[in-house]
Amino acid sequence: MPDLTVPIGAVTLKNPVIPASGTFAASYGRVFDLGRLGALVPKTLMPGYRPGHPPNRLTETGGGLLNAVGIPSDGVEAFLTKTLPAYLGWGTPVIVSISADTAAGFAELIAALEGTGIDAIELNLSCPNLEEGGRSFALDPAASAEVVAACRATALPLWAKLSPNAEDIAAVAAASVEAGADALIVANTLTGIAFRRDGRPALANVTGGLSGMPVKPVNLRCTYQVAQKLPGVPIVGCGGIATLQDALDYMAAGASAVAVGSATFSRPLAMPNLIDALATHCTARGIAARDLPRRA
Amino acid sequence: MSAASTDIGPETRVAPAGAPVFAGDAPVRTIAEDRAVTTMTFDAPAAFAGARAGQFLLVSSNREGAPLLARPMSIIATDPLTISFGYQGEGTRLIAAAEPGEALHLFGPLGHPFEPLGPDALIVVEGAHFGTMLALCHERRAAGERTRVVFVTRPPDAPAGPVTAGEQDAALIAMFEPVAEVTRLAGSEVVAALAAARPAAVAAGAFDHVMGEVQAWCEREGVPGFAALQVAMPCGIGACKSCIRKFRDERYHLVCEGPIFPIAEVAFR
Ligand SMILES: Cc1cc2nc3c(=O)[nH]c(=O)nc-3n(C[C@H](O)[C@H](O)[C@H](O)COP(=O)(O)OP(=O)(O)OC[C@H]3O[C@@H](n4cnc5c(N)ncnc54)[C@H](O)[C@@H]3O)c2cc1C
Ligand SMILES: Cc1cc2nc3c(=O)[nH]c(=O)nc-3n(C[C@H](O)[C@H](O)[C@H](O)COP(=O)(O)O)c2cc1C
Ligand code: FES
Repeated sequence: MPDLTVPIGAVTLKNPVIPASGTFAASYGRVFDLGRLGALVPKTLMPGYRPGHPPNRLTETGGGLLNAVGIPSDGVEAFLTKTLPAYLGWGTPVIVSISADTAAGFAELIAALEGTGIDAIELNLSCPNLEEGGRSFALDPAASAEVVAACRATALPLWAKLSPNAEDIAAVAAASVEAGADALIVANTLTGIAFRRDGRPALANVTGGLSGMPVKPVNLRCTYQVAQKLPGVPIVGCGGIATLQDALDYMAAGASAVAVGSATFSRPLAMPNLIDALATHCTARGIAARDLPRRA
Repeated sequence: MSAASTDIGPETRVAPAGAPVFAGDAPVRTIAEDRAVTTMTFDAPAAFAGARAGQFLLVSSNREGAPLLARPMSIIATDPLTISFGYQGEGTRLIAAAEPGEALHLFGPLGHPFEPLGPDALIVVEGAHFGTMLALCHERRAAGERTRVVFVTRPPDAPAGPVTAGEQDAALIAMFEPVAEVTRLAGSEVVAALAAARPAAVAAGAFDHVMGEVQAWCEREGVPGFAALQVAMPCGIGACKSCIRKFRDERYHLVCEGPIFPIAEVAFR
């Protein structure tokens, strides 16, 4: 068995394959041993109860998915008592994704998560910034940096999840790292829209986030640009990853690990299968996962 | 890695709720078609052995160009594992195109089954809900319980894929007849049928306006009712938070955590 561990800053992943937040639940433990994954990532946590967007929340489009789930959340209390215990104890790091509509809201969530046994915080910067007119934090270097800086008091590693919708994603990445981010997830969904045959919008929220195979070239480009600008900063690639080749492409672009989202919906064993394929690939080449070629 | 996860170790992992679920390819054993209703059996993986009426699986084709998401289908029987479905669109068309021996991707059993309905139950069924209700009829018959079915027919001019609704309804009714006493009615006649039959319990899977009528009748008469809900299910297991439906507590609940719920709890209007 090759050494599949990869360091993402201070966190050592068991292997380079982790779930993308919002596409994974502890209930997948009924299907495979969750301890096999590089890390576990619950759905983004928001401070209080929020219902999310009304239905229809998801549609298939052009070989991918368009979702406007709207980050429903039961709030921090329920997360700590009901959700988190199902993720701890699998012998694999737990990365908690959080979001809020103010920078202070992010910081308050982190305060509540300190000392709960988690290994890192993922900052989902895709939420609308209420103090700046509702533009998503991740679209703007200064707004992203503000969130990271507000959270930096924690000793927990901070991973900033970027948006491919940003005009200059490398600038957002650089500002986030400057403000104290330890690692970057590149990237979230691409804003899109789909109509039904009768001409009505397919999603109740009208616009949604595109994921799956169609976003891979875009997020791969983002990964490449961020890696070029910030050599040495750990990157988790995300967007349209389903196969070994997808993962190797992201690594070639500069990622050290990959997050798998939509692929799990159609093939629940997508992640364990990818880990097996990576192990075979590394064994055949006599290398460890951390030595997989990064060409960025 | 956190101190907590290292110290606890694998023996004390929190077991996820529910029985193990199968995910993988299973070969189609037989396939039969009758007026655009396809019935398929599989060489069943062991995880499906104890599946009950109301539970479902996700099925998808492995063929080139198949839609990304699997399609939810009710488990009609487990020995052999059986699903039955009508043509609606691209996903079901490709699933139906499978040849015996071809592997389809299955994920299940998922969801929670019907609670026991007692000896005197009536089922209201319409359209694509037939699979869930057919499973319930089979299960009740195996337990020696009789079931009355009100089959809500659609107008014959309503298209249902490559055949008319009338033709497809006839094929579905023929599937119910060996396992239940079937009455064929228009939606507006359902309440009168319930009043005449006076069942001790009702299970309903139909369009919202019919479900609303059944709910109101159950409440008026103090009869327990159960709703089989259907919405598109991308993951089937609670991860995507997409399969929501509004309940009377004003909250949205995940249908994959059912899909069978007490009818009194669901908001139909
Ligand atoms: C619990 C449950 C049990 C069911 N049991 C049966 C049964 O026994 N027999 C039967 O005939 N039908 C059953 N259905 C309905 C069946 O799943 C639908 O008819 C089917 O999904 C339609 O797919 P299609 O490919 O024919 O249609 P399409 O026209 O390809 O799809 C219809 C639309 O729904 C979207 N969609 C389809 N599937 C999904 C999904 N999984 N997630 C998100 N969006 C999706 C598509 O993108 C498209 O926009 C059941 C549904 C549920 C929820
Ligand atoms: C249904 C759905 C819900 C999602 N919810 C979240 C979320 O809560 N937080 C988040 O950071 N990303 C969320 N995402 C985005 C994914 O984490 C991921 O970044 C994106 O889907 C791209 O990866 P993929 O192409 O592998 O799916 C969601 C995606 C989908 C499809
Ligand atoms: S189908 Fe994904 S949460 Fe229900």
